[in-house]
Amino acid sequence: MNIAVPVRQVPDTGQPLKITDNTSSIDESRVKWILGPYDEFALEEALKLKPLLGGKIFTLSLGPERVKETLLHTLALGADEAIHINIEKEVRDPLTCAKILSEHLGKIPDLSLVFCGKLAVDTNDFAVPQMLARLLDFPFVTNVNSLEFKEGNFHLTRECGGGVEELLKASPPLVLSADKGLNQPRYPSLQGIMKAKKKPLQTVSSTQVQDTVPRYLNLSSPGEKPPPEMISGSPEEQIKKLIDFLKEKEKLL
Amino acid sequence: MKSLVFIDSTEEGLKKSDLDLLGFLEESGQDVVAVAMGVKPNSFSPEEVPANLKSVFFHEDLRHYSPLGLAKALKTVMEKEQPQWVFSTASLKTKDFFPWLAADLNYGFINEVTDIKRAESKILVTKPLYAGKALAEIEAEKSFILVQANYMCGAFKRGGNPEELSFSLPQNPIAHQSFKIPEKKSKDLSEAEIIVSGGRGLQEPENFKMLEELAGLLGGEVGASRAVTDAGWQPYSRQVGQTGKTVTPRLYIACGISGAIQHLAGMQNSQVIVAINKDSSAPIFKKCTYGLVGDLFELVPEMIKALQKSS
Repeated sequence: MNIAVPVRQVPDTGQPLKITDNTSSIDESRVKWILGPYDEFALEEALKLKPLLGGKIFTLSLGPERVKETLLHTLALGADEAIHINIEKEVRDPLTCAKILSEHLGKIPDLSLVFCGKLAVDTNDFAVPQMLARLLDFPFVTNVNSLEFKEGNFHLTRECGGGVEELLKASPPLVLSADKGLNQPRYPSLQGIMKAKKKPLQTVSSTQVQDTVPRYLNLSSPGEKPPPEMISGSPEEQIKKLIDFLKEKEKLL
Repeated sequence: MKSLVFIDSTEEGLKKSDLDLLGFLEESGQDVVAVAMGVKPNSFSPEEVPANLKSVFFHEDLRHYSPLGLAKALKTVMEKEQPQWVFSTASLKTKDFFPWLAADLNYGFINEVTDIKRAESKILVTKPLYAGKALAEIEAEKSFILVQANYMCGAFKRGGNPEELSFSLPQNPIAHQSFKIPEKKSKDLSEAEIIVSGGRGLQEPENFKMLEELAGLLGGEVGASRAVTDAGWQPYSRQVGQTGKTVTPRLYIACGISGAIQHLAGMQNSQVIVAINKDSSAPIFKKCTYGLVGDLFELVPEMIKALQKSS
C-alpha cells in the first residue's frame, strides 16, 4: 500500500515580504522557502506508518523549479520518490491545486493513503485535502492530531473545536490532514541527505487548466495600523483608564 | 444573482456570527436567502426566525459531525435555490465540508475573507495572505466564501417561516467512536468574541488560572502563544497564531506575549487589541490598540478586581 504526501513550498514566516511593482505576486528575490509546517507533520506520520503499511512514500509538489529543493528535503527526510509538477505561475486557488495534484495522484499505483498538512500557511486555506478526497473519491478526516494503525484500521482523533476531540475509525483508502500535536517531525540525517540525491525526483507537466475561478486579481500591503494608545500610570490608574476606553469608546464591556 | 447563507444550528440556537453575516449581506443590498442546518435548537421562537430563512434541516444524527451529511443537505438546497455564492463564517465545521462540496460542484472556495465588495454581477473579496503581510483581492464567480467571525455584522430581518426539510443522511464511511470532552467545555477560539491570551510572560502554567478568571468575567475564552503550548502549559486547541488558530474576536487581550510574526498572523485582525507586557519594546505594542507597559501580575489582578466591583 503506497502513501502519497502532497506538500507545498511556502515562504518562511519570520521574514518580511515585498509585493512586486505589478502587484501580482511577492518579490521572490530574498525569500527563504521552506516545507509547509503542517506538511512536516503529515510526512513524519507517513514515515512512521510506512513499515506498517508496506509500500513507498511519494511526495508531490506543484510550482516552478525552486520547488525541487523542498522535494529533495522530503527525500532526505525519508520519502522514496518525489514528483515535481512543473508550473511557472504561482497557483493559489485551492481547487486548481487539488485538480493538478489529483491528476498525478491518480497515476500512483496501489495508493491507499494521501496524507496532507491541514492547511498551507501562505494562503491559510484549509481546503486541498478535502478537495482531493472528493476528486479521488476517498473518504477523509481533517485536523488529525493522533493516529494508530491496528488490524487494518486507522484509529484517529480529530479536534472539533473548543478542545473537544472526536475518536474515529477508518480504513484505507483515505485522505487525512495533519494538525499540530500529531508528532514531532524529525530533522534530516546526514546519511538521509546523501541518499536523497540518488532517489528518483521526476519533473512532469500538468494538462489541467490553470486559469480557473475564483481569480486572484492583485496583492496589496495591509495599511499601517494607527499608533496605539499607550496607557501609563500606576497599575490601578492604567486599568481604570483601560476599562473606560473599552466601555466608552469601544462599547465592549 | 443570489447568495445563500449557511447557518449552523445547535441546541443553544442558530449561530450568532452566521446571523450577523446574513444581516450584513441584507444591509448591503444582496439578494440573499438562508438555510439552517444541524441539531434543532431547544427554543426556536417564531419572532426570532430570520425573514430570509427559507429552509431548515434538523437531524439528531448531526450531533456527531457528518461532513457528507451536511454536504448532501446543502447540495439539495443549492439545487433548489441556484445560488451564485454560498456564505458562512469560517469554523472548523464549515472549513471542513465546504471545500469537499466546492470540488463536487466545481465551485470556487475562498477561506477567511475579511471584506466583501459587490461590483455589478461580481463579488470581490479580500483575504489576507502570507501571515497577513499581503492582502489579496479575489474575483469570486460561483464560490463558497467563508468570512472571519465578528467581521461583517448587520441586523437581519425577522419573521420567516422556513420549510422543514427531511431526508436520510448518507452512510458515513468513517465510523464515529466517541467524543473526548474536556472538563470545562469552551467555545472554539475562532468563534470567540473575547479572548484573553497568555504567553511566556506568565512564567508558570498555574498562572493561567488568573487568565481563566479574567476571561470568565468578560465572558470570553483563554488563548495561548506557541511557546506556551509547545511547553505543554496549554493544549494546542488554544494556540493562536500561524500554526494555531486564526482568531478575529471583538476584544483580544495579550498578556505577556511579545508578538512574534507567527503569533501576530493569527490575531492581528482582531477588532480591539490590548497588550500587557513589561517590555516596552515588545513587537506586540506595534499592533495593539491599547498598550499597557507593566507587570501583568499586578495589572491582571487589578483588572479582575475592577470588573468584579462593576458587576
